[in-house]
Formats: sequence, structure tokens, C-alpha cells
Amino acid sequence: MLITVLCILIGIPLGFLFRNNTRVVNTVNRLTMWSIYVLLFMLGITTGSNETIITQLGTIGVQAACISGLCVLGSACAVFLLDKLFLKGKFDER
Amino acid sequence: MKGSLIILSFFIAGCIVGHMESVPAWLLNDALSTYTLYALLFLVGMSIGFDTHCWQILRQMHLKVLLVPIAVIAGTAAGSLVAWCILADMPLRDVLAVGAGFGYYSLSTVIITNLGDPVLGSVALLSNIIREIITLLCTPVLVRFFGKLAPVASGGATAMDTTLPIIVKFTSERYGIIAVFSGMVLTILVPFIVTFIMT
Repeated sequence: MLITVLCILIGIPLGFLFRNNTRVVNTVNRLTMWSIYVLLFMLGITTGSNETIITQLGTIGVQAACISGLCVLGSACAVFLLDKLFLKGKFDER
Repeated sequence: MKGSLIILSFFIAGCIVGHMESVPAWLLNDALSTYTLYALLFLVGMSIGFDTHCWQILRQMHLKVLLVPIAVIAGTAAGSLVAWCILADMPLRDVLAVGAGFGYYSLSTVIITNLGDPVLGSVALLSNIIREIITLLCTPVLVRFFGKLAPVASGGATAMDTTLPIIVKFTSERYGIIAVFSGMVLTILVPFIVTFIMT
């Protein structure tokens, strides 16, 4: 938790320093995509190598998909209403 | 959409490799993904630093940003309630606890396995991984139908790290800051909320 926040906080001043350097900006964007690919690949390995999950995939999968799908929908609706009723696009750029 | 398909193919490739008999030990090591995550966070910090205007916005928003994680918690609880009605064979407590992981699968799985049972733990693991994957894959769709805050809500606790790059890519650096804030609040709250529901 502390380290994750620290990683972001160290990056911000460096990004500020190099904000006008196109090469740095492009490299950062490309590296960002690749680290996401690596993380998703690792997530797949964790999922694929867990025997309990693989054998009971049917029931567990349906329950998990149902809960996560509805939680995503519920929270998306909640922030949609929050934006429409209270914030009224205040977070958008002018 | 092309980006999402590439991400999905990396995940499926990982599943296949993980299910094979002989997985190289260094691939199962947590250290690799942990350090990749740290590198990713550092890169995300840099892209936040590239945007010089966003800090003024954060100052203007002040306490209103707190409404975002509160709405995410309320919306997730409402979604869990609907899921409980549909599933029927799961106790409400279990469904709420699984939902309250907000995508933070590592921690919520451990807590639920300890206070509940291992099967519920794997439901939590899978459900929260799916929530993260939904966010990674469906962010463009969510933004179109529910606005730019939707991927922040969908990502839940992961909005501060793993799903943050996608959120920034399809919304803006400004929403990235909201995502970090909301994700941080939820990450801190996950162990408390899950423990509270389970006991």
C-alpha cells in the first residue's frame, strides 16, 4: 500500500520534469502498455494453475461472473447518477 | 477495442501456460508481478506528471472527490443485492463480502478464506479478477454509456494501480487523479468492510 503510493509519487515530479520531451512521453506510453500485458499474462498463470478453480469452474464461475458483473453495473449506475445529480460535469476539462 | 483484444489474448495465453503441467518456477513467483506492478505505477505517476493542469483541478474539486468512492461502495452493495436475488443459493452475507473486494482480489480472498471457507474464497478471487478484467476490457463501453467516472467505479480498488493506465487512456489524466484517490480510499477500506461483513 505504502510502496504502491510511493511509486506513483516518485513518478509525478519526474514526469513533470520531462513533460515537454516527446521521446520520453512516447517511451512511457509504450512501456505502460507492455507492463499491462505482462501483468495480465501473470494473472492468467495464477488463474490457470489454481486446481480448485479449474475443477469447480462451472459453479464458481457463474457465481463470480454474476456478482462481479452486477457490482460493476451497480457502481457504474451510482457514479452516473452522482455525476448527473450532484457533480454536473464538474470534473471535466473546461 | 484492438487494445482490449491484445490484453485478453495475453490473459488467455497466461491461463494456458498456468494450466500446463510444468510451469517454470520463476513464472509462479510473486516477485515478478509485484515489481512489474511497481514499474507500472511509476510509469503511471510519470504520465500524471506530464499533465500540468490537473493539479489546479484537484484543488478546485476538494471534498467533492470523496463522493466518488462513497457512490462506488453504495452501487456495489446494490449490485451485490441484485446478484443475491438472482443466485438464490448463496447467503446474502457471502455475496456482499465477495462484492466488497472492489477488485482487490489478493486481500479479500485471504480474509474471506480465513473467516469463511476456501470455496467462497475462490469465488471471491475469481469475481474480483473478473471485475478487474471487465474494467480492462470494457472501459470504452463503460465510458460511452455511463460517463467518464464509470471505469473508476468499475475498477474499484484497482483504479489506483492495475486498471489506472486504461482509465487514463480512455478518459484523461484528470480522471486518473480521481481514480487514484477513489482507489486509495477503497483499498484502505476493503479489509475493514470485508471483515465487518464476514463477522
